Amino acid sequence: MIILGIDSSGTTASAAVLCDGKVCSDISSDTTFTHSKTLLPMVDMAIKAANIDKKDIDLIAISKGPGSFTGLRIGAGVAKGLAIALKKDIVPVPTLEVLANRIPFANGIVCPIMNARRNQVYTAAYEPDFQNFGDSRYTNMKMVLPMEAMGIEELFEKLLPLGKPVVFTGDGVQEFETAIREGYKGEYAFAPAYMVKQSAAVVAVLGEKYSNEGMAVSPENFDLLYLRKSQAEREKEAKGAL
Amino acid sequence: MDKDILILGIESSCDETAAAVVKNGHEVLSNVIYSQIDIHTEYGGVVPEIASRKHIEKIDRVILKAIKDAGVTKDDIDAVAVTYGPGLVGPLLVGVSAAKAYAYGLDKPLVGVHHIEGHIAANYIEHPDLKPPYLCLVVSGGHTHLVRVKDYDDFEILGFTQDDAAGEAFDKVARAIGLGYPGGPKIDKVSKQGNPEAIDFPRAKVGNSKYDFSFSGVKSAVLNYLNAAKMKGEEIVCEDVAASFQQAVVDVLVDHAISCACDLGENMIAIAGGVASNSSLRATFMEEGKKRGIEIVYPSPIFCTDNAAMIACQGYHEFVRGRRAGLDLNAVPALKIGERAY
Repeated sequence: MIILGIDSSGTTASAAVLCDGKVCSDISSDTTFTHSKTLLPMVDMAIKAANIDKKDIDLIAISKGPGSFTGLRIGAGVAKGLAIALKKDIVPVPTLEVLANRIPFANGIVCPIMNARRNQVYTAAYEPDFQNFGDSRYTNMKMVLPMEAMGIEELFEKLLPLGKPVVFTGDGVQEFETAIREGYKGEYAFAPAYMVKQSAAVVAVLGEKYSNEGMAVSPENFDLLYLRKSQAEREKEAKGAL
Repeated sequence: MDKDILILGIESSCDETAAAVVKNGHEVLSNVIYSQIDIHTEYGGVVPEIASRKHIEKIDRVILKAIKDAGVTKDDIDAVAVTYGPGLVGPLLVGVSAAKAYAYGLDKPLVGVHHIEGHIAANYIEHPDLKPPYLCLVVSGGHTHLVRVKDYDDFEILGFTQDDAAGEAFDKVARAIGLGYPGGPKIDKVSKQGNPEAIDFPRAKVGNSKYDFSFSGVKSAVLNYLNAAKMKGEEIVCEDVAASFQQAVVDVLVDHAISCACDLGENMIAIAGGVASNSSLRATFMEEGKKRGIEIVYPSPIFCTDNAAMIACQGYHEFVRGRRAGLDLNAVPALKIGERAY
């Protein structure tokens, strides 16, 4: 089984090829270049570096959000375009889960935070489950706080009662490091630079796991996870509530 | 022609998700349009983020339906043509990303198309005899341009609006007289019950070039008229306001295009863009054209609205001239007519 993994949910864009459980190529770039220009060339690079033909791809795994609305849609456009050309399915993977699964052996909680602007983060919290590890190729992270957009202070209030050390990861760390240092009263650490970003290799591995669980969908049934309505819809609802 | 050339066109620059298959640059085999107009009507105009979300939901099935409706297979397609500008960046990126990946997945060439040049090319669908050079008046919600089409891929802008686009003025006036969005078709409809000579709204002259346009003046004149009538407690006949406003805009558009054609010795004018389906514009153009011996052509309404058949038509001409876009093709929201940004 050959899986192409794609992630363009944040400032990093990445593409990777997983062949029968082995990560054959893993390309990542975090620059000021727009994903619109870089993502498809990176997909092409990943395919060539894995020494496969694109027609050999069995499944496309994609980071489905939350994240930058435009970035997510560039990834989804590429995934859908490829999927209908190659007649393959898409397996969606939540981006926060991708971030958490880069740190699968934490002694405590892994808390990915992504900059959601408007002074909020997209976040969730996960914990490694060493009791039920299962297949050695996969990590086993169980969700302890659901995916949401919220203020950092609100997140602290939810994390503290869990009573465990927290590893903060994701692109929100850069933005909120000071707030965490000053505001979080529990034990914590930050993910190192080489683990802090989204990774298409993780997307592909989680994609394989989810596809084994029957979660791959046809391109028309694939939906992004924004976790937030558009500003126009929010304003309209606010007006309606008055 | 040795071999038929099939182009798949993809368009998502505003609030229509569209795909079409066109043979040899003019024969439309399929034309699929998913319109979001009902969603945006609730907001009184196109909301870019909502439009982008709808585009990414629909883009794959619109493409597949275009191929299916055309009665061909994806392998029969010779190239993929996609609108890469001008337009709203979020919506454009959906079409560009999907088109690039689709072409890449099929190992087919990709061509980037200018949305307005696509509108101009819509004329080739029903007028296969139309060949450059000719004069074209482009009128839509975002554009009012008088263009000399020197060749299929060579355009010279002779005049353009200094402020509002004609379609934009229609939207604003429609809102002011309570017709709502989209303004163009609504004003066209109620104008049929109104007197176009009831109110004398100004026909603006612009200093820079005699072919340039300005529509903010007539729009303000309508708003002032409405305010004054309200202050004085006079009855406002919505149909008359609409008809008189429409005639003022139409007169300027037709006058500029016809006088430009006369100056340049052109005997053919094509009309393109959403406002090209306005019935008064068409009628006035035909009447004035007849007087001067100038032939007037325009597409059917379905090809005036944003569609992908027109993108495939223009894409065909770019394709046969050897233009190819790479995997790094980007959306260019402010792409100018005649500009090539790849």
